[in-house]
Amino acid sequence: MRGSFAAAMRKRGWRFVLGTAAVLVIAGVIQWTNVKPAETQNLMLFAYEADRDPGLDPGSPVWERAQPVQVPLSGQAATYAAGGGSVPVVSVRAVHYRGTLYVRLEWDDATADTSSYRPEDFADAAAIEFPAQAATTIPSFCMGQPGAAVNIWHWRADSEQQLALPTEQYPNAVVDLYPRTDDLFFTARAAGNPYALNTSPVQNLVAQAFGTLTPAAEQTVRGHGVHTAGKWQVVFARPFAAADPELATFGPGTKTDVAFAVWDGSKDERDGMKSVSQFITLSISGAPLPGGGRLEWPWVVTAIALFLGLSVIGLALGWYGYRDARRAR
Amino acid sequence: MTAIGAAPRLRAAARPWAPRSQAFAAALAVAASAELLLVRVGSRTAIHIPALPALREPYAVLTAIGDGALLLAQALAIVTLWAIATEGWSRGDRRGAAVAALVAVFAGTAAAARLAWGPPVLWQAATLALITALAAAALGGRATAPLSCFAAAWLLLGGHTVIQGLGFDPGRAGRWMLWLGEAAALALPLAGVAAARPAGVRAWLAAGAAAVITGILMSGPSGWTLRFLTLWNLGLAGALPSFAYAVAAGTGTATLLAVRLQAWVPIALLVAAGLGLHNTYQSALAVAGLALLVLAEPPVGETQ
Repeated sequence: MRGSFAAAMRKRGWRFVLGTAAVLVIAGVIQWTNVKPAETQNLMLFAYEADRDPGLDPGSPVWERAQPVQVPLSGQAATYAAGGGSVPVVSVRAVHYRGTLYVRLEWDDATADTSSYRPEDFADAAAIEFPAQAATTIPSFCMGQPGAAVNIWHWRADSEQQLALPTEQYPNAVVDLYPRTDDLFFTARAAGNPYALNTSPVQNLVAQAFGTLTPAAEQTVRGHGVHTAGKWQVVFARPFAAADPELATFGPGTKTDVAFAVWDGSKDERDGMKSVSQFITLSISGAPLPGGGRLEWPWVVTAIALFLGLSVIGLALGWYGYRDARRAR
Repeated sequence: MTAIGAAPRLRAAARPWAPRSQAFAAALAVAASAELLLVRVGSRTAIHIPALPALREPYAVLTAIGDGALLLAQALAIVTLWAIATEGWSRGDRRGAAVAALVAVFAGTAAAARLAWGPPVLWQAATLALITALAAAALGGRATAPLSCFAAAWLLLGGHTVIQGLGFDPGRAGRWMLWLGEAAALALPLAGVAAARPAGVRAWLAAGAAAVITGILMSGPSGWTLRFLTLWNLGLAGALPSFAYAVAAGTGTATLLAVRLQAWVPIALLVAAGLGLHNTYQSALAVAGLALLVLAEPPVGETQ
């Protein structure tokens, strides 16, 4: 046994021993210091500080200065009712103003589905998902997981509207007026159902897995959606701070994960049948929102030069290898 | 051919890919594959199994093993890149030196990204260029077509991220980039099977079985689960018809059965890396896999 170990040592040499020791030391340092050596490289959504309040108007001029990010979407897959996937991409912009985060979503949708009055009608909708501040790890973007909850802001087009009278949908129906208007006779309202209360078109929700989605104790998310020229534009807004550990918190100089979902009601999308994204990174910058053009040309030129320079090395190597292979033949 | 002339050729034929980095690269491939299966696939899907409370203990054990594999893979990635760089440098030819330089530049970009020096898009662009440069450097052999598909998929999917990071709105062209990137990714196993030329009934039976199973799964309700996993782990949105994924699965299986065992390490690293920009750990796996493919070509003096 000792002989075979010595032979292996001779064969592998000191490099192997040093390398193995290095692996163990690095793994130990990562484990004990909890410093992750890897850094995210996926899509980044930057939220700069606006110099004026964008409000809930999706047409505010502030949004023209915020850089959009196109986030790819896919059908929801993880649980029933699965499906969706009719919206391939959502364009997202974000800014903050005086301690409030504003996020604007925009996506193509030829029809404005703003009613869910009849059983066969489904409203257009959109949602934004963040990890809860108490999450110990990056949660599953599918409604989170135990120990890593998610905070979801859910906007519905039908919540923007006043509830229609039954006779508008069913002209030949005869409806008796309800004699009482107090909450006792409107059980959902009496129970505090946010949809029945309809104080905001956006519900603030929390979840820790499928089947656990529930309204948060704080309903502080505001929102407004406008359908124009075959597109929905929806603005979400919420103050940075949140007392509930199940909610997300924000602040200048911080990063968090964010995912998006979109429902197209005319395609019968509702519940889990929706278009969803992966998590991307939301970076909230303390810097002011750039004033004029969105491009930072020095960085653009540097990045392009870096890309081209390294690509030329690769092409030269490719040519070198090709020539070498031809000579070898 | 004389005996003197045959000697270097025989030596080159006996040479495994990057012999000094071999042990670390193989260990990295095992750890990264375990991390892919247990962390990125297993733990993210198992939490949705309805009967999970009854399976909580095995789930906890598998998650712990997956976390350990991720920890080990991160440490191994650093050491493997170091071993590859020193090996490339010590080969004494231009190709080896360039691999060493590209790996060193990647290490610098990953460190700069981690330390948040400069805008992230700078390091995203550098990583994208490094990976396409390494893929280009590995061209010239039989793997030229699949490597071209790999590089094209990386350029399109990663380019979609970088363009937006630079402040440009890709608009409708962005969607085409995603679709074409997906098409290039699906063409990769097709090109692989043309390059590897699998022989024997067994390989084609396995390929057919993989294609049929994938086709059935993609067309049924579980197709959404597969699309979800490809989006999360490979960066593919599953936007093309199910038929294309079935063909890709079949040809991919046939290719894997046809390649030499030595090629499994770089292939495993590239699969675990996925396509497009995700994080510096997955980019490191792509850099290591491609660098190993470049170093698999013997130095010029030994081929002539």
